[in-house]
Parts: sequence; C-alpha cells; structure tokens
Amino acid sequence: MQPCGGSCPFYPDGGSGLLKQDDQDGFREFVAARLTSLRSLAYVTCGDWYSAEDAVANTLAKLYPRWSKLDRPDLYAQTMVFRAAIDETRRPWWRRERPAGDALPEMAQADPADTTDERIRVRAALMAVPPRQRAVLFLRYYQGLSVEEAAAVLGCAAGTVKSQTQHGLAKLRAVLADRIELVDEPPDRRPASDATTNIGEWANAGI
Amino acid sequence: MRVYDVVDLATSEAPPLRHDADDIVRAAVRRQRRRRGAMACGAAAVTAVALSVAALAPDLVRTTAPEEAAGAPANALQVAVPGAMQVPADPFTFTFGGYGVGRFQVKAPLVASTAYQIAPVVEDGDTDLAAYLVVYRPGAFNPDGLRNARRLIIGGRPARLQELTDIRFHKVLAWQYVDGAWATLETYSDKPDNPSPRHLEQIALGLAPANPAPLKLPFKMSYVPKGFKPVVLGSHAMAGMDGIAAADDGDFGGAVFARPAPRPVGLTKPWPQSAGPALPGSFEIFVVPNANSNQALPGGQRPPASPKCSATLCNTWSPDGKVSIQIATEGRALSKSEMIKVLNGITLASVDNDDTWFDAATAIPVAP
Repeated sequence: MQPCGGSCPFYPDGGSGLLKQDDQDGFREFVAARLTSLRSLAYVTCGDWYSAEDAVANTLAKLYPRWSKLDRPDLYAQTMVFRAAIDETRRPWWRRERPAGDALPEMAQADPADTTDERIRVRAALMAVPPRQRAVLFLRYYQGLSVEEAAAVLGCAAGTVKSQTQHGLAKLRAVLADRIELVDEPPDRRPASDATTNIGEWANAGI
Repeated sequence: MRVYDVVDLATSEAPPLRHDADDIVRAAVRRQRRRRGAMACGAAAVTAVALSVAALAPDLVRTTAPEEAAGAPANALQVAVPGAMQVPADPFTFTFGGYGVGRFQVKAPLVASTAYQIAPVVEDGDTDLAAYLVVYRPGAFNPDGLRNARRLIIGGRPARLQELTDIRFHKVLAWQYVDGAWATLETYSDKPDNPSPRHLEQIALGLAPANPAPLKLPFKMSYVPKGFKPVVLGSHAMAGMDGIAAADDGDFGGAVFARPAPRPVGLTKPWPQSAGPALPGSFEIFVVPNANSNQALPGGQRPPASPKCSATLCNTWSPDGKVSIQIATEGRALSKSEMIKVLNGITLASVDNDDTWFDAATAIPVAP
C-alpha cells in the first residue's frame, strides 16, 4: 500500500517504510547470523526457550524499519531482546497455546560422561542468579562485551554493570560451590570497538 | 569451570528454531506494510502492529484493547449485592464482579475451576504489575501451606501475608472471606513497596459478592472422552493462568479436562497448566482469534478441510479462518484420533456476540 499516493513528504521511500533491496539483504544476513545468540541472551534472561524465541522474533520485526539507520544494530538488538525477555519474566506463568515445537519427538541420546546431569545442574545454578545479573554475565563473559557496551545494552550505568557482575558471580559461585568450582577469570575482552561512541545515542533514546 | 563454560553448557540443549531468517524478514515486512497502511488510513496503528507481529510471535503481543471490547465478559456488569459471598453448587459460576480500589482495578473474573475463580488485577498507568485475585471455594485453599507467612487479621478474619523475592517482588495475601473459604491476592512487581501490604489489604476488603452468573463459553462440545471431567474453564480468555496473563488479548475461551480430575482441596495456588508441570492426564482446548494464535493461518489462506495434527496437538479453524481452535494433550492422555473426535464435536457460537455463548453447564456434556 502506498499511503501517500506515491508522493509523501514524510516518507522518502514513498511511504512503504520498506528497506531497499541491499538493506533488506543486509538485514536478512544480520538475522541469520545473530538469531541464535540473541535467542540465547533471551533464554538466559527469561529461562524459557520458546518465550525467548518469540521475544527475539518480535524484536527483530520491530527493528526492521530502523535497520538502515543503526550504527550498531548488534547492540541495539541485544537491548531490545533483553527488554523483551525481561518482560517475559514479569508474567512467570505466561504461555499461549502449545507451540508446534512442543510436539517434536524427544530423541534419546547416549550420555556416557554424565554431561546431562552436569548440564541440568549448571543450568539450575545459572537460573538461580537473578535475571538482570544473568544477562550481565552472559553479555560480559559469553559475548565478550565491555562494561560500557553491557551498560548500554542494559540501559544502566557502568558502575551498575560492575556491581551486578560481582553479585551475579557471587551467587553463581555459591550455588555451584559443592559441585563445581567457578574459575576466577576476567571476562574475555574483545578489541576496543570503533563504534562505542554511538552507544549513548540510542542508549538514551528511550528505546 | 569458567563462566563462559557455565553459560555454554546451560544453553547447549536449545530446541530447534521455529522461525528462520526468511520467516522473520517476511513478518517484519508484513508488519511494516500493515503499520504504514494503518497510519495512512487513520486506523489504530497499535492494532496493526499487534496483528502483524502476532502472525509470527503472538506470545509477546499484548494488545491494549478497551476493557469492554476484549477481556471483559458480559458479567463484567455484575453489581455487588449485600450479604456474604455465595457458593453455588456449580463451580463454573462467577460470584463476584470487577471493582476498583484507588488506582488498582480488579477486573471481572475470567477463569473458574472446580476449586476457584480468578480475576486479573491491574494498576492504572503501570504495566509492570502482574497480579491476580483468586477466590477459592470452601476447603480448596490451605492457608498453612504458605511458608513463612505473617499472620494478620483482615476484616475481623484470619489472614496471611507472604513476601518473597523469588520472582521480582512477589507478595501473596490470603484471607478468609467466609467461614472455611479463602481468597488470595498475588502480585509480582518491580517495586518493593508497590503494591504495599496496605494496598493488598484494601483490595481484599473491597471484595464483594455479586449475583452468581454462570461462566459462558464460546463453544459447546458433543464429545468428551470417557472419564475426563472439566477442571478449569476460561471465558473471554484461555483457561487457567495463561488466560489471566493474556486477559487483554481478546481471546475467546478455553477448557482443561483431566482424568482423574484433581481434588479441589489443599491448594496454595491455582493448578499448573501449560506454563508449568501440567496436570497429569489432561487435555486442553484453546479457542482464540486466528490473529492471536501462535500457529495462525497466514492471511488469505483457506483453513484446511480437516484438523492439522502432531503427536500432542491438533489445530482447526472456523470456516472463515478467523477463529483458531486447538486441542493439546498432556503426554499421552489422548490419542490423535481422540483429539480429532473432540474437535469434530465442537460447535462454535458467534464469537462476537455473547448472547449466543453457552452456559458452561450446557456447553460441556459431562459434569465436573
């Protein structure tokens, strides 16, 4: 539909709001590349795989019209996904109909090294950490974000990220204590980002 | 073990993705087209966003439909009547209506079970609060099951207050509203003092009886597999807590059946549903707008002639494709052929006209 009849002063794209083909291809590549890690961020935050995927799908659909204007779509997407996943934790009983994915047959797999037990234990320990602290640990230790980048994603001060990191680590260490020792190791730092100057631009934009 | 390894292991058994990049791009384009179209037409853009995104991820879409249009059933107009709350023989009866206390609104009840009725509770201008009021039938609630709860007196009757931080700031106020029967107000909030215990008490004191009104369903059934009994029903909402959480979504109705039906005694919270460990030996029916469904028919696609099934669920649609009906079985409670038989025995009312809806007692051919 062309809401402005093909000539619209507010929408240079003719009013469709759709991306140019190159941008659309870029958006598709971004989605394909980031879908899994965004879903993991949402899962670590909200604790449910299906809610996590819905949060990511919904978020990416909202991100589409802004895609070509973003300097750091990766951080922007993480911010939106984090907030959507936090929303999921607000209604802890919440589901809709059974998603078709629930019907997938479970496949029996050999577990010679008791990795399933350890996975369940580790997952339970991580989920015992409050959601925001889990997200901080994910962003800093798993995604390798700097304190400033994590603060921008989470919409908080760098000091808050540092304190949430400490609290999250302490909780995780306490829960794992009797079974698994948590190694004291600083998060892997990626090379300094050349785009961190843009963070504040959208972090303060009330996304 | 490093933190990286903890996260890696904890996320290592992800289920397969249900949507790929192409699905998401298509949904985004569809959403954008509808959004711009709606803006151009002067229509409510919020509705367009909700509808278009719902096609991909309705779980996250919570529309802000007006109270009268979406969640509020006909019995929202129930008025308080003097006297004590009644306890009708038919548990699928609403015995209270919505009411306001300051900036808090207790909505009309949407869900009833053999043990309780549930109404959503909202706060004006605060979408972060998740709260609900549960009015249990006599004997259904066990106040001693609330651990570490403070003992209080509310309205001259015993009460308990549990304050937790397990999920956000989580409070449960339980109070005896008539001899042997309790109600609870459960809240999840980002703010430690809002709602405060005083707010909870005021809301509790506002609970008043209304003329009993039978729960109405937008469908009736001609077949229920042998031994199953209705346990939880939803009117203008999915059954159970899912229906309360999605109270504003404009869903039509739902029902949970179980074999054996759980005894309505000793509860400290509503029965779990699809969100948690489900009732064993149960199946559930969802009747929702196709646009709300997480397995919606794509726009313009004709409904299939027969139900689409997997091992644990079957979906079917009204002939115009606007209403989605799902039956889902917990474990192996129902075979695929039984699920289809149940679906084939369902008759839809006119979902937009409450006058055509069926009282629960006539909609379901077996008694609770």
